[in-house]
Amino acid sequence: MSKLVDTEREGFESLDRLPVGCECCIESVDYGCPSALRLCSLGFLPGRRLRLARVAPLGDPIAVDVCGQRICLRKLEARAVKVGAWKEDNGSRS
Amino acid sequence: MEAVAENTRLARVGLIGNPNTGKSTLFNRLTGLRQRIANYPGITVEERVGTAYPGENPLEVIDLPGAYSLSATTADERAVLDALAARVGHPELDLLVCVIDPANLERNLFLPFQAAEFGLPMILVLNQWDIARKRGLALDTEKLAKRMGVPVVTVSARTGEGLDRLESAIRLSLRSPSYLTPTVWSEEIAEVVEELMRKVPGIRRGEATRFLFDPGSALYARWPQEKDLIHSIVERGRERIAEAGMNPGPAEALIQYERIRTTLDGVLGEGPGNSSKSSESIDRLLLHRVWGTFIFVGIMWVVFQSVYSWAGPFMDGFDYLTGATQDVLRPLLAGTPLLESLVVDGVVAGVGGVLIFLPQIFILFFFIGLLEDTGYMARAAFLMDKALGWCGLNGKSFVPLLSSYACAIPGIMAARTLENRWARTTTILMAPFMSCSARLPVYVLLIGAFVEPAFGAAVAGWTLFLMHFIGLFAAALLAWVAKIVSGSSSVSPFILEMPHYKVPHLRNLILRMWESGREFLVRAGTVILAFSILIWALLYFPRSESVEGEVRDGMINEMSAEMSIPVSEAAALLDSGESPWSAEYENVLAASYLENSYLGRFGHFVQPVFAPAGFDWKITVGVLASFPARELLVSTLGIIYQMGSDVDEESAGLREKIAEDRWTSGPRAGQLVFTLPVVFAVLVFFALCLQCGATVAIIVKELNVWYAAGSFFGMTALAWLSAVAVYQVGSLF
Repeated sequence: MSKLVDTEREGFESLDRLPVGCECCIESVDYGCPSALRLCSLGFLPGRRLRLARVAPLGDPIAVDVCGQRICLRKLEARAVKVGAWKEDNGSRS
Repeated sequence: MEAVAENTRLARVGLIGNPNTGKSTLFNRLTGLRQRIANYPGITVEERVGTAYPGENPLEVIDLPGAYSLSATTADERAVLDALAARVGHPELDLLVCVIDPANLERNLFLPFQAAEFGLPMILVLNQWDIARKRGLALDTEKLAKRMGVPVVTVSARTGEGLDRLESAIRLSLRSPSYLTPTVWSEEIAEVVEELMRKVPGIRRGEATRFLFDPGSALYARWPQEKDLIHSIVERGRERIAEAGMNPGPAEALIQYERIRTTLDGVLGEGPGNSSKSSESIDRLLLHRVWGTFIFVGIMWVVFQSVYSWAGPFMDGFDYLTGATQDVLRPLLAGTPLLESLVVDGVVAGVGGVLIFLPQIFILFFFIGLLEDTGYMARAAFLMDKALGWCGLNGKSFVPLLSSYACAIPGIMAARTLENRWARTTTILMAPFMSCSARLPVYVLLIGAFVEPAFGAAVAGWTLFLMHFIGLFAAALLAWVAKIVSGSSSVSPFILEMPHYKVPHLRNLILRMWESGREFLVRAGTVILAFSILIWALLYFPRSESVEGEVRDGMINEMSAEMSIPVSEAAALLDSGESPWSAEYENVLAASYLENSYLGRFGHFVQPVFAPAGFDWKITVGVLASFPARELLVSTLGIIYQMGSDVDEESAGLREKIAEDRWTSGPRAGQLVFTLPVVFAVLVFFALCLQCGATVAIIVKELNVWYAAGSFFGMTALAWLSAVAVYQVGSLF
């Protein structure tokens, strides 16, 4: 179950649909999204590894570990980030 | 020429840096209490300016808003750009001090690399060095300084460590400046930047770079005439970059982060990571679905209680001081009634009315400082964002709105913690709708006098409870409509860093408390004072002699008839001041003065406007007199109903009098004034109306005069409409 890449839609999953604890690699950021520049300057860049650390108790926003920092963003913005080759956290990294 | 300039002005040092780097703490360290707010025309972001190292060779330090990058999407980022390029009134900077959190060196270096394009001398300050050291961060600062080409100073603004090193580095840099080399761009990018600099008059290299990389840059507004020219150059340039095989979207970030990676290679050793682990384990509790929510409610309860209840004794203290000052001054000025009233009822009451807000502001800002400095504020925003996001707010609006239930003044000031402009404006405009503690006396008086006798204590309790949600409901609905109407484009996104947990520093908290209080006094206090003196004048003038004569004659006639004594004897008795009639006389006289004042006459005049809501002239005057402060309704009704101003919402006398009051003229002559529809109309009116001069003044200061006017007239209109609707519908039954 380590390679659950959804190839049906554009080949990649978007960040807002990941389960908690899963680690993956950023494939692209949708530059049409108004917050794309901001995400880029915070280190959301293709090839970077990110981890979905937490989902708020009410289901939105989410907290993502990227570049050694924890960034909280709404699912609306997270949708612009496409990720690939993600695997579920199996406890090898805490 | 240079030497002359140096002699006539202080060297200007700009502080830039990401949020959460402790930049403001460093600024506070450098300048202490020698700081002020700088406002630039047309700019809503405020910057603090202060004097560092007072004495022989002081410096001017400017604390620029925290920003992650220079892409001018937020007002804060635009303000940083303007400061770097010395636009819109910003003076030219002599040195940039870039404040950096060594715990996240990679992202923190993005901003100085962008800023390098502006060609200003630079120093890098690695702040929070004590924490970094404790965590065992292996960082070769000498190597970093060598690679960057600018001095790197390690300090801890919290503890004051390393500030002497910083001073000598600043002084050295001002004498012999060192610059961070701008990033070497690819050929295509460099050519576009060159073309922009050739063709656009007065543009700086840094600004040209911003135009190229930020398609929707706010900088376009600075070159209205060259807008199309710039746009076409940028579009062509971006196409060429794309043709060269590079996506222009993330191009800048990719190139800069690559440069950061090579710069940090071998500078940053293995080691840290336990900081994120300890924060992670705290988060596991504080962001837990169940426990996290409980803790959040508990923390917010403490914050609310502190503002609502704990500030009480201090406010009573100010109240007592105001009363004592009035008691001392009143006999001293008794010879000149006009001066007595101006000083005692106008100035002293006005000053007291300003100072009374200080305890709540101090206490709230202490807690806000605590929440922000520990890093919990970002967590609270994370927990609450979904609940507030639907109406255009974000998670950070929670604390300001909650505190507005105690008082809108500290609540509106607390909205400064919101970086997002739309959310901040919406929060400020929603704050006066929250049912503040000043509405409570009005609710208690009317519910106690009418709802409780009619329906019993349980219904009265529920009415009081529900009154607290009318404003919230109306405000959330309006905010939601505003969000829908404006479209999602203007509602900027919510992207927030969750900083590591830190131990707050008391010195910083107290300085922050002090600053917020001082700012309130200087910026809003003066307006509030002017307001209260104006209202005093409207209630005092024109104090014609004839009013006193008429009331006196009427009273004497009544006395002689009642006690069957001659008129002259009654007059003597009244003048002796010993009979109960004298007190009554004072109350009747006060009521007549009020009725004959400009405001009283205005009340009569506009009563027809309030007639559809069932208000008679007395309620209308009460409503008008409550515009400076809504709790004044109770004492105004006290005066109007000839009970004197020393009544409170619990006094049985006042409740009886208003319950028995009947229309003396008009179509409803003889009927009771306060029927239940009227009572509910008044309640709803007070729940929704912006009857608080201090709130209007603080909105002027925190946003601008147009928002304040819109808020005032909008809320008044909404309150009127709702009161009319309640009365009209209520009268059907």
